[in-house]
Amino acid sequence: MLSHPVSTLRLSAELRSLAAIRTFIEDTAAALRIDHDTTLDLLQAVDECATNIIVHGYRGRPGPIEIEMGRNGNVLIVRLRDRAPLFDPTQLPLPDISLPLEQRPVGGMGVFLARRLTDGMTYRVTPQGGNELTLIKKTHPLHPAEEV
Amino acid sequence: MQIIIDRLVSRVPVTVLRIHGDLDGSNYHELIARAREVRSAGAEHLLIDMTNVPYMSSSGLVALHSIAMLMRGEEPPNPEHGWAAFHTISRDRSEVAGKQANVKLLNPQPKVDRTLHMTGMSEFFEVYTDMAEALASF
Repeated sequence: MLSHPVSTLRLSAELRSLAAIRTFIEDTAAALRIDHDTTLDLLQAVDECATNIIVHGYRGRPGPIEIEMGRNGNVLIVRLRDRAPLFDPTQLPLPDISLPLEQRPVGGMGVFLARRLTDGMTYRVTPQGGNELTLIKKTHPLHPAEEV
Repeated sequence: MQIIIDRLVSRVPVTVLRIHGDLDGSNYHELIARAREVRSAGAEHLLIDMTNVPYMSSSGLVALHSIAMLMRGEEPPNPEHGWAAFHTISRDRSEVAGKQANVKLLNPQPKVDRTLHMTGMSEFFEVYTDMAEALASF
């Protein structure tokens, strides 16, 4: 559960929407009193996941994407929902960039970055039958005077 | 994103692509297209100025790799084939000894530089923070 007001952005899944998604994350993070470095980590993680939804999920077909962001104490939570064909990115093998070529799995650098920049990533199929990807990022606790 | 092209002369002629703005999934094709144009026009040495790129997603990595291949006279993988393109990046990075001789990066900002390092792509490109030094390196 998110204990603070949750901000939600709904827009069509198009690559030209990426800038608006990043602006949404920045603005919401500012409202939630999130520090700059944490904001940038989350911004890139969300951008990478949204890009994958648009490019690999919808594959150019029209569809909605919904992004919800809030915090619970010192934990930030971002949920991305879409109606593209079901796909669980948490099951993708991470590319081990230290391995020699012949041992390296084929993998997505976007998901790799999203996982490195966050503290957790979970996936579920929503009751409506869509994808829901949740990104978790730890941040500093709010002082009482900072309550939003 | 805007791309400004300069042609400078040091020991050899160097084409500088100055990128202004975020480099992401919506515009990385444009960067590849501009590099293809300058290569077709005869450019042999390319410096990509990233001073004014506040943000670069993994799509930018595909663009940088594609440009490196173009400048070597090779056709890059179709960026629409996302997973395959990334696989080619891994293969290319492991197969090419040393760094790119004819494509170099100037002044990537801390978050962009971190993306290059986190993905191992920093091993693929020489990175400079000084324009004169970068030009003299070709």
